[in-house]
Amino acid sequence: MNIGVLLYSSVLLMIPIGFAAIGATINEKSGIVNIGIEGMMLMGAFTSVLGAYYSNGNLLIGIICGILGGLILGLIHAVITVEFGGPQPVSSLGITLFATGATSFLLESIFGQKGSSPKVNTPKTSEFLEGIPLVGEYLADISIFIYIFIVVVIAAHYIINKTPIGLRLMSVGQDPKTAESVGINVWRIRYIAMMVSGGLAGLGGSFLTIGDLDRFQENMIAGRGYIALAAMILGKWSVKGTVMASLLFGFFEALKIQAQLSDSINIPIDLLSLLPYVITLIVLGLFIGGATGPKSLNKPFLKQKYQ
Amino acid sequence: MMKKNNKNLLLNHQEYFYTIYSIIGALLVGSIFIVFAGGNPFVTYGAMLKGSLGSQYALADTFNNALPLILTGLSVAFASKVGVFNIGAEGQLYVGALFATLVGLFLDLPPFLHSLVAILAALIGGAAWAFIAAILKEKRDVNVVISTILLNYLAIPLIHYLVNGPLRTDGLIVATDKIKESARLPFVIKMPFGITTAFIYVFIAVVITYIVLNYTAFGFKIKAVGSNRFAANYSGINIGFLSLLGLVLAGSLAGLGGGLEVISRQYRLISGFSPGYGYSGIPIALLGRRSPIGVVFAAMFFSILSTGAIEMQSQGISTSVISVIQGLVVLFIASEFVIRYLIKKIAENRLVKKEGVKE
Repeated sequence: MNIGVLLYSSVLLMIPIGFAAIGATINEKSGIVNIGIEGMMLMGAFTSVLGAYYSNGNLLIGIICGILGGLILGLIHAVITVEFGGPQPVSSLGITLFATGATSFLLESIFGQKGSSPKVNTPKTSEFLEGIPLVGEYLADISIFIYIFIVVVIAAHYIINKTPIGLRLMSVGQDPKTAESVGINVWRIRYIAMMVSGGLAGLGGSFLTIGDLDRFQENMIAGRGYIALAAMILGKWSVKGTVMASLLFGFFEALKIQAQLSDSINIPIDLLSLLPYVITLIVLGLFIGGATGPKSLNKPFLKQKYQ
Repeated sequence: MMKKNNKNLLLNHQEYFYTIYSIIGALLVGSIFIVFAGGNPFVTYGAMLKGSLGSQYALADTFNNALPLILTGLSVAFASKVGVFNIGAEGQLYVGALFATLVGLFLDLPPFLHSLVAILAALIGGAAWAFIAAILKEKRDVNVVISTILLNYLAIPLIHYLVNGPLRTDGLIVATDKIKESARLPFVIKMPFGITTAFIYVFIAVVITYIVLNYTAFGFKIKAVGSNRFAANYSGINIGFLSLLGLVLAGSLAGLGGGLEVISRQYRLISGFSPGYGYSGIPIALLGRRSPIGVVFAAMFFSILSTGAIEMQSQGISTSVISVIQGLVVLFIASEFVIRYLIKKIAENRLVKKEGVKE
């Protein structure tokens, strides 16, 4: 087995989980539960193919459409839970159910074929980096999504930990009442957090379609959204930890694929694919438990006028 | 006393109203999708009804498809009464099916007893799978939502591995051997459509759940824990133990659903045999307002949707519009507060108008 290939594919497979997990961290920090990550990723994956298809393979339009697809679902979740105090796990689960059906349905009625969309042409390499002397050709070989991911990680880490916005985000998730009393607009922050989270999940989905594969397949997220939630918890609601946990899941995924390709490993694939789930459960049970989330998570905070 | 009863009745009416609003809302928005795909909503929904209720075969299908849905819905509803969100019904269903299959394949027992033992095994399988999440919650405070999701993703490939490897039989389908005749449930009506005694066990499960929740001290404690943990704790109820037990019992209900599928319909464990019965249990529990009787009706509604979907396809409408509608039902239930607010607002406006006229 080639270690270099294993590591690079670990990083690649981390990307979609990582985007979504950072998004989940942001919405949970604001106090909103979102188990609809799976559906938001799926919608993002679909809308990015849609965007790329109708723009003749324009990567940028594909990415923007992917972000928008997730963001709109995030907005719906925010309207139901932030604005009207609806039950957060229920609403976000509805989002996933809806997105699962809607993407399959739209796939069939827009492209007229079941199961998967037609191929879309998107440049896989970051061609504009080729001009850089010496390292340019290597940099250009790396998926553009990795660069976006690095930017998102640094930005999220910086904004959450080093800026007033991050402080407000945290205070809204810990104690919205106090936050409101010092003049923070709790609802606006929660809205924005939910839309950012949805957008990032959508971005994660668009990596899977236009960054990795070149088409949309029914239910192609296949549980990655839930894995992202697990990564968020394993990472204890910090951007750094979340990225590390996502990398761990990426590694297991890569290991599975490598084992599938090579003859030297004799563990059945089905058992290998259990590994990340077993390990997450063990790590959760033995080391992490559950007492570290934001205090006001899953508690609606209603505007005066609705009470 | 009389007044109180009236109030309760009113509350019930309100609950029905929100349920019906959720269904109508979902069907209305669903029809936008149908129009988008170039269909006529009336014709499409008509085809759905014909496909699910239009013939003896269709009726039997709808009835049989509803049985596992009733049990997974009951499972989610029961857990939610203890304040636990059981997303793990799918995994519990699979493990229940596995246990029943193992009993059906490897034990030698007289006919009736054999099926009873298989059912018991299914109950234990589902309960055991839920127990993992329950113990993680109780001992380590691990979020049940996350652990039950992870356990779903654990159970399905695990069973695929067993069915595809050690337990696999020859043939194209990835499945085990057929279970012994003695473990199969007898037919009540065999021709022209198969109804087995499975529905009797489902009926018993519904009745027991109903009685436990409404007429026993245990049920009262469960509901006390579910509605206010702190008050329950203060009044001396062992909330940790009860939520643990609640989740385990919920798991056994879902497990029963899987077991019955094996011993009454499929007679073997097929990899990926469930079209998401467990996941459907969540919207069903919500739509049924978490009451056992409500769950039965909600499961019937979901079964009508999914069984009738095939007939919709003949109208050129993709079957996945059913998942759209199911998702919308949940979203509408979640956004119930919007309607509550609007109704209150309208009532207030009327009051203001009335009083304004008086002055």
